Amino acid sequence: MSKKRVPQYIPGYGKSYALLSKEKTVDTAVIFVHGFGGKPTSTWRNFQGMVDEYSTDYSWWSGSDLFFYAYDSLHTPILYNAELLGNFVDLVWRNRWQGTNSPNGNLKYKDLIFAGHSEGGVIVRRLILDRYEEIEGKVKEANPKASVEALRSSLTSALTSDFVLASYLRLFAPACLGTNFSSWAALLSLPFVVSIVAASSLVKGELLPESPILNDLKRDTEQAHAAFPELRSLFIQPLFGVPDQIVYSKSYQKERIVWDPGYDHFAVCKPNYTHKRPLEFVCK
Amino acid sequence: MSDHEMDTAANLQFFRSAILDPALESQRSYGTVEDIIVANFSVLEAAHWAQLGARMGYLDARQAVELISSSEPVFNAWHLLRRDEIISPEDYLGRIIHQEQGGKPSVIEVAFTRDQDIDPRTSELLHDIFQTILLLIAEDILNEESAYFVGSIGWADDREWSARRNGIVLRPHGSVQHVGSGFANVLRYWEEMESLSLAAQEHTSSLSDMERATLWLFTENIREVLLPRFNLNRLDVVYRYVGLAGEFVSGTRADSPEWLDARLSAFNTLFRLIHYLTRNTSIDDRDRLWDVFTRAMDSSRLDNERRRRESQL
Repeated sequence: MSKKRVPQYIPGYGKSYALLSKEKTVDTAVIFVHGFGGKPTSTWRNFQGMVDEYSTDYSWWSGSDLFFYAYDSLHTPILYNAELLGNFVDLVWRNRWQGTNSPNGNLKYKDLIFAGHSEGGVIVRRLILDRYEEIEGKVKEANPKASVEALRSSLTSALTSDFVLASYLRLFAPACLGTNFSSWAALLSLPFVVSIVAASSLVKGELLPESPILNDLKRDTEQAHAAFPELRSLFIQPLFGVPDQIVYSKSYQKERIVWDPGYDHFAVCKPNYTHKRPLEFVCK
Repeated sequence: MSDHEMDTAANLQFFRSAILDPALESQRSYGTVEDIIVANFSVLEAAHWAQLGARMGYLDARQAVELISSSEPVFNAWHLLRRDEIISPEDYLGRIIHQEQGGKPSVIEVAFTRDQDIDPRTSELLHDIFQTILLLIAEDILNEESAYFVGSIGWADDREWSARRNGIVLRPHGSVQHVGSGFANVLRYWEEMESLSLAAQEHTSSLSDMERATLWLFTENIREVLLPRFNLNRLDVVYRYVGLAGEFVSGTRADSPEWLDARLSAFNTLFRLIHYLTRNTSIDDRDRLWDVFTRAMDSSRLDNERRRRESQL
């Protein structure tokens, strides 16, 4: 059988699809989350074909299943989108979408990678923070009289054993510090400018700098990282194109930005024959 | 089952879930005349995608013929589009179904025969392009917003189009937001299709003349299958697209030198895409289209200012 992967749609998740590896040993799930006005194929083209074409150069791809997540980025609030993504991640991790339901001890994957672009990066970070806060709340509720040390020990154990918090975040131009929607620069992409005008004012407002959604996410993620620096999903190194005239090229406290000169907001996450950086960036 | 058989079986399953089933579903929905035209295009295009897939070996030819032959809605769509003179037997979309006088329409099986001249390398490249095109169509074209938009801008009369664009028509489905989302989807598809076609040409430097010709032929066929649904051979429809783009661009108005340059760049992008799609020299009057674009921008701005003034009263 050829190496080429054939898309399989994920039931219940619209146009989300999987490209499953044909190798015998597959231990990683990579979930791609597009951004504002994006779509799974156009945002991430040519990951779909190049992961196999360049498997000798970037061998980890052959042991990875790819999941391209589709969602409504123009009208659905970020907090709700994070919850929906969480449901999708659970489905993928437990391999339930193919009609099987792996018990915890028999999971297909060892590792999870999130590749997010623009608004997709915000949703992924919100999912991580939600997961952190959910586990923290449960542990505190279950140990109401525990000492500070005992609580810390329980929290560390619960947080570090969670597969979502142990995931690798590879975010391209995340809109975590806000977008520049009012800028003329939106005209650089005609579909994007139409999307901006067509989108709900609610979602646009959520993605503006200093919006309550973005402010809370930044503050609480930084606090969580300060409390548990061992959780890798709370601290990232985003990749920004240069120039990026759509989002503010900034990240959270002490997070180092990686630059990709010559590629704009939309091109930074698209690998091609002369731009293999995205293929290298999405790895463990 | 051989490796090739396993591959083509998986491809067929994907083709059904991405293209054929959604197209058949759209035809089952009740709608306006414009909705029905677009739904019929979706179904007939699906038959053509199956044919192209079979010719390049992405699908098994026999299975593809069986699948299309057993889909009665394909023949209904073909019949209705021909009856209403939306397509003719000479059109690309009219070529894979045949009907003897007084007989039932049937698939022209020979049109699905695999092209034996395609070498493995070109074949692999074609399969990649084709699979990506199917994904893009599933995401950008075969959805409610895009169907509503394409039906409205391409097939509704001026009065109906104006009413839908301005949100002054009561309808059981469809909205001004559908027009915006559908427009974004269609533009995205056009950009991706053009980009795929250019990427394919990048490969051609290392290919033989024969291989280059094969690649060019298939990418042209892909372009031709989806073109009729947009109705861009009508100049008034082209003007609608250009005018609508002008209206959306006016929403970013800044009037700075950077913005003025970007505005021109946005217009040139649209002009290039329409020209790529249609290969139509009758739209070569760039000055006239620019006039439509800027008039729509100004008109949209005046409308906004009038509404703002009225709301302040």
